[in-house]
Amino acid sequence: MNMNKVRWFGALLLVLALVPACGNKSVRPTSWQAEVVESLDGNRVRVNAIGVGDDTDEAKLDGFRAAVNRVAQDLVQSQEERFGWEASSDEVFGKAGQYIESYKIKSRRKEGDIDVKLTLDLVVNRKRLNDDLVAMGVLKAQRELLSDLKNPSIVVIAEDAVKTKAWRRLATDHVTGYLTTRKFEVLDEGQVTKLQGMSADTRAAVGTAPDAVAQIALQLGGDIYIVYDVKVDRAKVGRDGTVKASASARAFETTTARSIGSATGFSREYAATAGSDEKAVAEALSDAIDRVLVNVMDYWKDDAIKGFQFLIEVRGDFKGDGGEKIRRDIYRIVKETAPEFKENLATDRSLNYRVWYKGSNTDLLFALQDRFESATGRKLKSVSQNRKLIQLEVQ
Amino acid sequence: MNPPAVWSLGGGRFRIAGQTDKLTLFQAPGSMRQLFSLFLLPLLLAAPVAASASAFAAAAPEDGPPAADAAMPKVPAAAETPPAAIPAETPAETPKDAAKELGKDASVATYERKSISYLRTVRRAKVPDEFYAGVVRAVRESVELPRFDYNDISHLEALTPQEAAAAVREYLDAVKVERAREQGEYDLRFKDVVITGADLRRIADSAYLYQPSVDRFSLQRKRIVQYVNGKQVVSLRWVAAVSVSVRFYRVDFARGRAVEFKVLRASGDGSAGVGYGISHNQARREAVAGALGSIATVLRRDVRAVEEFKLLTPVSAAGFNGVTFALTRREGLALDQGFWVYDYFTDGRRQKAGYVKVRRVGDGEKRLDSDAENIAVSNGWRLEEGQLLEENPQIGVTLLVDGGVQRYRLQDAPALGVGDATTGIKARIEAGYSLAQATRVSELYGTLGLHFLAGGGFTEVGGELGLDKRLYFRRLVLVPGARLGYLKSYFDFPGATAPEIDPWATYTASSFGVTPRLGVEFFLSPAFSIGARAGYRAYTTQTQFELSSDDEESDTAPLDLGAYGFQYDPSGLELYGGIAVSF
Repeated sequence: MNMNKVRWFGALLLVLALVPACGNKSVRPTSWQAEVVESLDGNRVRVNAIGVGDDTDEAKLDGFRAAVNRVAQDLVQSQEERFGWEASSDEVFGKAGQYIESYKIKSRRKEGDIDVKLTLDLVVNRKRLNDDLVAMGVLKAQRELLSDLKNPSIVVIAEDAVKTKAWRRLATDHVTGYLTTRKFEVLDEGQVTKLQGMSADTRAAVGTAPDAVAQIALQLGGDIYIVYDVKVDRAKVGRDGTVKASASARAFETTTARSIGSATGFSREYAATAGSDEKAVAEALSDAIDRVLVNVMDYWKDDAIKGFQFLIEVRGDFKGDGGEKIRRDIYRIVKETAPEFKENLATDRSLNYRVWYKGSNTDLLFALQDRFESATGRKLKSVSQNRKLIQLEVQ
Repeated sequence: MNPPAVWSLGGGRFRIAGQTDKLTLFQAPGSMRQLFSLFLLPLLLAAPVAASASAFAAAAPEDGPPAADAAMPKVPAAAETPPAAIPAETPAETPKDAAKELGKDASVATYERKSISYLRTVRRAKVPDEFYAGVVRAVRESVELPRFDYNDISHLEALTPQEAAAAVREYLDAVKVERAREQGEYDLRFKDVVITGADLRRIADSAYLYQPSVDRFSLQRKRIVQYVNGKQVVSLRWVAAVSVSVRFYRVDFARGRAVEFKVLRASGDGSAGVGYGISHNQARREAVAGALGSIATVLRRDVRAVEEFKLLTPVSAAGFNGVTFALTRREGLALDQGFWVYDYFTDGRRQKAGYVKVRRVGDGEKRLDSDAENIAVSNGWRLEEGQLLEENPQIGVTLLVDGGVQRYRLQDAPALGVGDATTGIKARIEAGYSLAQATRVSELYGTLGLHFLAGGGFTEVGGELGLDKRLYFRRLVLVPGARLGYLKSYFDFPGATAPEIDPWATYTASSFGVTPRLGVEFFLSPAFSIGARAGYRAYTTQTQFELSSDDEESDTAPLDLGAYGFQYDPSGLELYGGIAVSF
């Protein structure tokens, strides 16, 4: 082999070594800086992102990736999903532009070693990203949840201060619509009035809930309830007024009134023209609800693995040895039927359990009745039931 | 031939004079010194302009001025000073300063629509009533550009700036919501135009007042005596000289006060001769109109150059040939308007990245953006999205000075002592004015030029009117064009033996014709270019000559020198090289 051939062969090897190196340029963001500004509706979010790169196109793409990553962080919550996201994120970053509905370069600056640094204002299509993550299996756990347990049903409750406002109906409708778009089952607080005719016994059972708002949620059978409040601040620019709303949203577990999360959202300051209050309220609420839903889904994905939560109220005479035996039987049956449970209250007249059960309220009711009858030969009579509450009486 | 206007220079400003004397310009060869001064003067002018004109792409970034410079206003409560005390102009600020003052990052600075109000013109100089309205109109048309909304407080008489500020505040308070609605963006979510508190504050805090004052107004009749070939020629002219200053005040909306921040000054001269069917009154009006035209041109450019009024916007899309950006006719964007393109650094410096010229103007209703062509790009081949465009105000006038050779054919005539000749040295000055606004044809220029040719035993003086179309290939420009011209040649025949020919006299003849031509220019900066041109002059041949005489009364019959075999055919190839300065 003469020297020329050796040189050509060496050059070929060098090219072959460099080609894959060039092709393997990372698609992961460099800046990783992005912040959700507001949720435009259930499907789209506005994000501010920083993009850096050798030139504007590269910096823009980096900003897109940072924004997509930020939105994805709100979608992947469980440990399993996070692992899935880590494994698949390169594929998503590789097509980050597909999730960007629009963008505007707010500033472009050159900086030190980084040639171009952009501040971008983007609208990210969260639904498209969510669908892709589900299709890629990253959100597989959620898909299973959706098929087996569905999303949590949520009761939306306005604070008393809101109830006097003219825009109260609009605010509730806005929150309801927003949650519905995100595929949540929403139970309207207004339906409570229809349940006023419930029996005194039921009212007594509901009365065991920790607070009045939880009682309403329990009556409606919601898994979670969200209490929102909106404050509208007014100011003046010359003779014209302005309106700015801030909304707070707090999410609770219905059965215990345990706080799941809370968030505050703000609107822009609008000129006080026709409909400006409503615009401000809607914008602030979207912002707050969107943020609190991250906490809700985080909680739900952990909790729903164990099944739906139910509150079981058993009434009877639990005094004396006979009563103690019945109580022990009921405890055993509940434990067999729904291994995940907690006893909330036990008195001579009633027992109150919180159980997690992978099935409907009727399945749970029948399972309890059948097991009790088999074990004791006595009957558990159903006094009343709704989606969250089963009330029984020992015959 | 009596051209209506000619460019003249003086007073440190580029001015348009009303009319000039055709005798002065076309009298040859006795007025050759005047002609040479016309050629040399632009060269002298071009030197400092070229030196000061920064190159298209500055190598070194521009440092932002110290933060203290940004603190405006420079002259607190200057509005309360007596009108006679005109404060010195505040140093020009950069966009960075303006943005800093607004609490913004300079790299995101963009033109936000301002509003302006006119305060009654102060007459520091005595202005005849017949001209006062014209002065006011000229100034107002120059200042009240489409980029401003106008706050009409004209129903309030004789306001001081402070009183006017309060009135503007009242006015704005009433209209600001509606104005914000006109400027706002439609939001599909709410199916309505969104008006935010920030919009209201921006409109409230973007109000300005301006008050012109006429500092000098002079209109004099002059008796001009000239000696041409030893004979006295007397003419009457009206000469106008007008100086105007315009004070700008920013309205502090919160306090309802006016704060002076800028003074612009402009002056102009104009003159018009009496006679040739022009009466004294007409000449007076034309002289004043010439001066006001000059003032208007300068003011219009200077107002656009005020930092707070400059059009600024980021590039919203960039391609190989040009950029797109969000300015439209609503801001008064015009075809062929030039914009510098800047890169900003995180430490506040900025660097020129290129230069673009507007090629399509959006109407602001259906099309909300406009396109510009890349003229210069400092780094690579294309500009980039997000780079900042900043207006480079110009008046659209180009002054060209060049020289070269002209081919012609001079038939030999031994009886006249003339031999064959084919090539002469030619010098030329030409002014071009952009016709883009009037014709909506990009880079179309109307030209008016004068030339002087020194040939074999004769001289030639001519004038040309023409059209040029510039075709840009970045900084290289192809310039096809055509000229309609008229020339007068001056022959001496010292070696003539023919009895009818006076060897001590000068004989003249005229030609006219057309010159198609093609030029190449290279722009060193937006204001300065070098170029070469080639054309073919097709003019009528001269055989009939007159004896040149300063005696207007003399009426000598033309001599047919063709009878001696003599003829001058000015047609032939022309080749030039020269420089051009754009204002």
